Amino acid sequence: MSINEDEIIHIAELARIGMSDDDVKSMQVEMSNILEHFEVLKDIIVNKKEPLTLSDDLHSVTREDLDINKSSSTNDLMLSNAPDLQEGFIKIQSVFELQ
Amino acid sequence: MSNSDLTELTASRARVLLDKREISSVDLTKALLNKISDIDNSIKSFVTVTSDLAIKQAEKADKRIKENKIDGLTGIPVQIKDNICTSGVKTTCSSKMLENFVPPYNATIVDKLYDSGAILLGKGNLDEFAMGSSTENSYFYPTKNPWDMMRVPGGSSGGPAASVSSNQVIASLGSDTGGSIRQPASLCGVVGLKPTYGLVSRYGLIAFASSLDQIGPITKDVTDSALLLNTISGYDSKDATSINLKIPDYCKYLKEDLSGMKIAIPKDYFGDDIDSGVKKVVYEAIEVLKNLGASIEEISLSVMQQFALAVYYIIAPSEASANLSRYDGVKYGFSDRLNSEDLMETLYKTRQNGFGSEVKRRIMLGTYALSSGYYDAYYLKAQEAKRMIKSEYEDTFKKYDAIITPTSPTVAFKIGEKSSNPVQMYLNDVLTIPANIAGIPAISIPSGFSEGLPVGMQIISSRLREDTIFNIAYAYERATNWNKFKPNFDKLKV
Repeated sequence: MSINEDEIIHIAELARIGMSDDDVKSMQVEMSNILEHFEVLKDIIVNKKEPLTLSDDLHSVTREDLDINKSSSTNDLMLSNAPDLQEGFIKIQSVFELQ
Repeated sequence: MSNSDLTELTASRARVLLDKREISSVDLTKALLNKISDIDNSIKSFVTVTSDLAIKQAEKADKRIKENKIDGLTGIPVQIKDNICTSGVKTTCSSKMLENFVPPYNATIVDKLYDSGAILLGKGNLDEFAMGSSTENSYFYPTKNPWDMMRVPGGSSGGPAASVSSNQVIASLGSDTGGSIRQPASLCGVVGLKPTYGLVSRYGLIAFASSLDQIGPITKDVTDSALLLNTISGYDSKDATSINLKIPDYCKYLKEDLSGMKIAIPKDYFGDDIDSGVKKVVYEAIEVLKNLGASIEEISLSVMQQFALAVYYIIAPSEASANLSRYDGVKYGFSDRLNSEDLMETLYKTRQNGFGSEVKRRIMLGTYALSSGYYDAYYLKAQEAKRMIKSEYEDTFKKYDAIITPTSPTVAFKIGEKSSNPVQMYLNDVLTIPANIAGIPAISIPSGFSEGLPVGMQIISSRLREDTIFNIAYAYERATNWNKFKPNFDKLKV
């Protein structure tokens, strides 16, 4: 099965990846080559739709809602990885347009 | 003991010498740091070397040993693959996206290693986000194979395998999603174990494909593999897939007798797509196992041979596309905001320029396989085939204790030889992928040479049967000593 350039552009939008025209062209060729190898699956009949998990003890991981006493230095270390900060908050470009 | 003698030590031998106070952890650590500064400029197996931290930890370990508060890895210097979070030490995934990322916390296995008294020498190079089979996809530089500097060490844990092989570290920790521990171990002539899914906590392992990822040791011999697994395995409430059971002492399964052991040889994995030199070595290894008392029978694993590669290259990218959606240029990591006019443009440009081409290819593949209209044709069918593969294994393990295959279809290939053809690169994983799909343990151990390059034999067993794997691997290693062969270090000097 091959994929065309319009589909590549659509998928890139879903994946939020910017692409130049050249990127689209080469991605189209590479993905078509890869998809060809997936053809072996086409005759498989799907019986069960529950996902197959490999751990028999799958549980939700939650903790008690308690103050876990993380020091402020952990906070600083977390924030120090952010590209832009203002007054202890992560700063981003505006989401809403000004009226 | 001379510096070069120190760097040649295994963890188990170092343990004995440290406990007898014949060597100190500081001396051992310094010898390895010297070795790293001597040869890693050419091999490029490290992304970060943590010299100061290592010396401090070694001093503490020596104190601990003096006070007789000794645990399995007290004073043993190791490396950790750079997709495993180390608090205060850069963890890059060999990606531009995380080039300057400093985790505020340790992965659970890092805490366990530190609690045991292990020394961190640094972080090992990998294919970006562990996607690749040659370490050529590292944003920083490709790692070279110590056996032939023109060749790849395999991947994605190419840095860890090359460092262990060239005696720059005593052992290393890698991650294996489709063969990323075993294939580089095979290509570099060292031991690489992918444990049962859920046996080792993945908390703090930067996620690639969460249903397949597993952390495991890369070591100089089988004993060290068991020793490291003793330290890193065990239940962790921070990982929803962690198995809650009492961990045995894996070293007690290191036995030389294989009588009564039933081993299956799948003829489908010795086909024309496997190099004849590799097959010859593994067939010879099987003869050795027979002489040690194992019974050998040929079987067929036609379902996995037919479907495993396609299943993997749908499921792993699908999960990757979700896991890697967190890289948005906002919270941490690379951000292209200064060249962008608004938040959306920042997002698109950050991901366009922060990820390398293989990572983007896999995100695209996964997004496609999960997208409306293709989900049924790809993802659901892959899940069904995964179920079929798992059941083919279960049927096999009703009759046999273990399955033997080569680890990789070829020996180490030349740098650049496969990097322009993604499909060719994916075929490297054909023998290792099925164990990840089924969540079962598998090891690669050195089994000889073809074209002067190391060949690994893969031993696969059923879920939580690491005991069987260690038994067979140890018996074989003791009978052959292929792990004692080392690359010619004189050639490695800069």
